[in-house]
Amino acid sequence: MEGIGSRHYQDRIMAALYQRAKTVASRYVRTGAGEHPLTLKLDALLTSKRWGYPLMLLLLVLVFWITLVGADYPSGLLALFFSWAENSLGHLLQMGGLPSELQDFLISGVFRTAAWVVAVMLPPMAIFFPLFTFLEDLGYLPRVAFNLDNFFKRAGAHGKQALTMAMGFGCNTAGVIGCRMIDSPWERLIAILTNNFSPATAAIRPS
Amino acid sequence: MKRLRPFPVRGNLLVALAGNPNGGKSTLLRQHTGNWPGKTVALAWGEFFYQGYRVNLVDLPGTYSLWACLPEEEVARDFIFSQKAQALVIVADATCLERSLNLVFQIGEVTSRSILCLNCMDEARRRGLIIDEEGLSRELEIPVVPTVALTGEGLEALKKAIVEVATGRLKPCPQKVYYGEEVEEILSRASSRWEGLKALMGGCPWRG
Repeated sequence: MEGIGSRHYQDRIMAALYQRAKTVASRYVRTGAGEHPLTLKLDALLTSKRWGYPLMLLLLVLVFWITLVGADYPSGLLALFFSWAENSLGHLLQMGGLPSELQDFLISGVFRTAAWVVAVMLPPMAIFFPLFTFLEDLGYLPRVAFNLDNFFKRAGAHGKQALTMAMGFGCNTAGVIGCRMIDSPWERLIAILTNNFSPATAAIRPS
Repeated sequence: MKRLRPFPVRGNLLVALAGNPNGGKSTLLRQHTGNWPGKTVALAWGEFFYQGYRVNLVDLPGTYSLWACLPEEEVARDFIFSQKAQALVIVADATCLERSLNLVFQIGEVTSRSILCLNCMDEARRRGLIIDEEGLSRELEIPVVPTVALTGEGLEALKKAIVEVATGRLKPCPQKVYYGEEVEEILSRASSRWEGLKALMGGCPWRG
């Protein structure tokens, strides 16, 4: 016999409630002829046992592909622009007659680092986040969380972590901040600590 | 002619709107109170006058279950537990009734003064859903009122039901769910069925 407030009784009570809701609803709600909105069909397809995972993988791969391949072009252009700017700035400083140590520090140090970070990081983020936002606005991301909840639960985490980890592919700062949407403190902590296992696209991009 | 603000001759009633998130509670509240000039709508408050009663409506945060643990769901739960309201309107999205019924049964354990409002009936009809409201009302033993909050359809009937339940003219007796022999046996030994359920469900899963 298990204690009061145990999982056993909670499950019994919830199961009875849902069973009853199902019985009553099926008895008094009939489906006649009517339009079946596209969203319902899509929902059924995207969260179905058979197609849910393949479609999810396909979509995520597509997002990554667009991000990784697509980011190369603006990245190349930015790099080109910055190397031109670096040269021009160098000439400018030379004309100004600055000591060469200071020139090196400003041009090869400060400017080049900043330029590289922008050239490498900005394009993938500028592509990944809009795509991610698009999927969110379509309502697809909650379905991803639904699909993955089972896996995350087995690992002792929360299904919503699927979203923060996916967000982490764009930028982990955003991912970790997003962990606040997980309600249980324990699972939130797990999410924060394990979120760095999803590397940012900018970091894994072959350059 | 300007319509005068009616004087509440027969008393004040406090009525709460509960239901799943996005079920149309707030739309309903705007409709109810929007019918009157000089309305007072603060954050989640509204009032309307019906048959000489002033009915104060409280819009509770959306909740899926009384056993939930989110802060906003706790607000709704605590208000329902406090039994302050003379009537409780459970606003259900008619297109996914099954999801709301869970809450209907749970609330039925706490208070008998509840009304089921089937909202979004236009959308349900468009999808070809035929809901047997009278059968549902007989089965649940609470009044069931179909409405379309956006257009105001069914609001008069809902107001009537609210006042009838809140004043005690209509006494719903929501049917209790049978939880199985094992649970029912424990509940029968508890000081009350509701206290027993509360103890069995415990707090949130992670709060022990």
